[in-house]
Amino acid sequence: MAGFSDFLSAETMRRLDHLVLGSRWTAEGGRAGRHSSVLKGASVEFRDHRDYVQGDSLRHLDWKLFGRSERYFIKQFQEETSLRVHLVLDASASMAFRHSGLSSKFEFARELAAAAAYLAHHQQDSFGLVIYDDHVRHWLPAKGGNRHVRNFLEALGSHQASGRTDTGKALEALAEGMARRGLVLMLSDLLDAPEAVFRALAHFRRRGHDVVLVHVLDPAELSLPFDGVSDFIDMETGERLEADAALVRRAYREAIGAAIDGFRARCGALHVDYRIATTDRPPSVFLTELLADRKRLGA
Amino acid sequence: MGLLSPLLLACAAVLAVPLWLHLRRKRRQTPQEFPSLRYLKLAAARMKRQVRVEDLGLLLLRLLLVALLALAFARPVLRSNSTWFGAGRAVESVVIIDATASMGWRGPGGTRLDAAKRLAREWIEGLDRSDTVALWVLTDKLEQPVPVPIANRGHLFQKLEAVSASEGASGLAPVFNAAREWAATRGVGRKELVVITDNQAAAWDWPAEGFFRRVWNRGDLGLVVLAPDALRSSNICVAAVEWDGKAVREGALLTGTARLVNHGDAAVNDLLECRIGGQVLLRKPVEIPAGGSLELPLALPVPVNVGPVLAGELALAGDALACDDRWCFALPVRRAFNAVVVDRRGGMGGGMRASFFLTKAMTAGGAGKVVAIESDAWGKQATDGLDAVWFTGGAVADDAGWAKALAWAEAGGTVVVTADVPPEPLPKTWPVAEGEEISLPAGRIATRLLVPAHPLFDGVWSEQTAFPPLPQKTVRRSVPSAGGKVLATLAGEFPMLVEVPHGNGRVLWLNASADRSWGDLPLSPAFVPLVQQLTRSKELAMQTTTASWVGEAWPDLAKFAGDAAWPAAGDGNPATRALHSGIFDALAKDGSTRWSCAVNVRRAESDLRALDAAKLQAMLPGRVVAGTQGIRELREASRREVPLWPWVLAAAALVFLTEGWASVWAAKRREAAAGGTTPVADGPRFRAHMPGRRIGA
Repeated sequence: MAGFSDFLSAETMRRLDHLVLGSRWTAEGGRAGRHSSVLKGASVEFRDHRDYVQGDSLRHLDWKLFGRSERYFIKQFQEETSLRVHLVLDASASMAFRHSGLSSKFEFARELAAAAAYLAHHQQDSFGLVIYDDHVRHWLPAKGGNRHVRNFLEALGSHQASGRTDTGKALEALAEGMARRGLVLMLSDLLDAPEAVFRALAHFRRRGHDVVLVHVLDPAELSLPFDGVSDFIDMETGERLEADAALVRRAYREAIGAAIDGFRARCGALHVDYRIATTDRPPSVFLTELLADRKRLGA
Repeated sequence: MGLLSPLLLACAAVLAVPLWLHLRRKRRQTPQEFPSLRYLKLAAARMKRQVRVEDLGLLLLRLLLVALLALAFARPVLRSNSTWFGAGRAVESVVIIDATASMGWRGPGGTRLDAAKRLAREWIEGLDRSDTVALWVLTDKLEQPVPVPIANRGHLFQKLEAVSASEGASGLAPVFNAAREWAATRGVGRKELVVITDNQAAAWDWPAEGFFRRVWNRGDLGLVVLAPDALRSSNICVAAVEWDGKAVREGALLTGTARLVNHGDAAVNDLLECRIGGQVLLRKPVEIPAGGSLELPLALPVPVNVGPVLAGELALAGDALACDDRWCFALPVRRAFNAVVVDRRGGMGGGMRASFFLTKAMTAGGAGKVVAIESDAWGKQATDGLDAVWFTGGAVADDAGWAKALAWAEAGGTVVVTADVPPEPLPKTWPVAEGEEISLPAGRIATRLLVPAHPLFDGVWSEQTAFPPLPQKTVRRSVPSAGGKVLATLAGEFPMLVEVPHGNGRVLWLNASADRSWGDLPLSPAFVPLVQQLTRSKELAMQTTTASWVGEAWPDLAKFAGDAAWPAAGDGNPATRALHSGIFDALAKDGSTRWSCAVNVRRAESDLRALDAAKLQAMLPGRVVAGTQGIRELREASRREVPLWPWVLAAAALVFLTEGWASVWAAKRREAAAGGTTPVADGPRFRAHMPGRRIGA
């Protein structure tokens, strides 16, 4: 029977036990939890005051304020709910790239998704899974429970990186289906038309999701460490390009740097948390640092 | 510009092979699956332009380097006519072809002249089109078919082809004198003198060394002496023929000696023939030792009825140079002469009178028909057919008789007057002024011939056979009249023989007499030949035969041969000189032969041995070369060829350094493009995107 141990080591899971996966924004969980909800309700967390209207429970009347202002105000409290974590995993052929004995980007992303799911499950949050390439290959709506965990892990282990990427086409329809706010953790190498990618991300943002875009890269994609003339083959289209890696290294670095700058700028505009993850570091470490950083920023 | 080793230019192709291989080689490519090809394409597109420019530059530099090296191997030279790098004035050349007799030597490939013409053509074709050329030809004199340099090659070659072998002989001195004068008339441009000759030693037998050292003084005139290839000197010739007499008599035996010379290195057997009037009168096999000569005695009967001249030739069967294998000769045929001896009245009776001895002397040897008459009979004496009239013993007593004698002399006759009894009074036209009669002591009076070459003496008396002293008792101290010429003297002070020309004839005054009262002249050994020579002087003066060399002027016929003329030249103009060997007759309008001239080639042309080239080179202020190869070498050496290959090599070195610098520069650029050794992912730009830092939101 599938378990998180298929993707995560015991040490990793032990380390993840101390982490909290949260959203920067309010969530719309299906049940009570530890995350702030868009709704106001029973909680110990004061949110604000509102004018008293007839029928309100006097239990929440702020008598101290009445003493000072002789007006009736009702104290409102933030409702806490569970978090829906949507793990969106790019399974296009380009994610299969590996170099220098490291994990492939897809393996990295899968392990990272498993770790995030583990955290969500550990926090009693619901989590879902979307695997896509040029279409949504597999969609597992956010749920909780052991049965869901089993289905999640089976789905995660059953797919391999293949096919071409069409993020926009795959995710736009999906965003309509994810009506409640949650955390969208998108794991992709972003080798797609940027417009399509950001159109999809904008869609998620309009729905109020807290979107974390993890740009998964092999270190070789950043440094282009090849020597001599290589016949580079695009892993998705099969297109070939003959180039002297040493000769184009700096220009390549400039190009990919410019692309990253572009992603960063557009993510900033959409309030999408843009992160780069390289496969030479363990996914758990990346996740640990990511969550610590987000916690520091208020997530 | 030219290339000294043009074949080495092919090195360019050889050197281009590695380049071609380099360009053609399949670069080993590693297939590499890569996801971020879109960024790689952007980078490659940007770099491709830059790399293409760099590679093209490097390729051009390397091609230039290869081309320059190949060009340097081909040894380029800048052929220039000017002093520096050939910003060029054209060259004015004079090509002089030696067409003397020796150039007619025929070898397997034609004559030396043919070879010389080929060399001339090659020389001219090797000149630049702007160069101008004159063409001169040396025969027995310097001829100028193209007197001044012209650029029209067609006309030049036409004139060159028209040059034919001559039988003339000449040294090269006229060539250099004329060239020097020509150069002095030209401007300051570069001038060349190319003398194509076989360099016969005889052609340089003049004070050439001193001429070139002191007189030549033409530093601006490039001098080239060019000889045909493979000159061989084997040649035999009839070097000379000496006849024992100056004239022949019909039926007599003609004797003499022929000198045959072999200039070659091997003994030669040949056949010598003597041909007269198409008839072979003598045929002798001869063997001439190598480098030696042969004196061959000749004896042949003179045919009868040969006319006034015995003309013929001695000829060998012949070798490569035919013109000197025959010797032409023309000898006058002496016939019996007619003379009249006019003695004074009553002088005929005594047996010891002058007319007696004179008649005997003239008829000695049966050579003539002589009549002695008294002076009274002279007025009625017919003069037709007479060769001479003698007046002796004061025979001319009146003016009428003397006038008749002079009139006859005007017509070509010879009047001889002895000095014994002059007429009273002395006619104004007397050959000498009246002079004192002087008695001498007994003995012989020394004689001296003042004009030994005079026909009267030539061939009879010479240094070897001196005119003997005369046993005179009396002489007359007289001086020649106007126009008179003393031909011989007595005792160094008295004229012995005076000649006074009269029209076509002459009057001879002899300061002697056969009269015994004047001395014992009839007893002298000189008496008979002197009397016969004086009687024959008309015939002698006419010189019906002449021996001449090719190129010498014809004898002047105006005085003795009337309207006779020498054969016209080839172009129809009157000939001024003999152009070929042979027997040439000066014919009168009636077709009779008035003069015969035997013309031979000068035997200096027979010795074909060339002057030593080293000696010639040391003497000349120019270059001495031989054949086509010589021209080629000369063109390399003398045509102001500025060697360009050091410059080309320097340029190649410069290109090499530039290429090296460009390669290093390109490599550095590419190393920079490669981003050095710093892993890109560790760079600050990317670290900024790493987890742990907030990006975006």
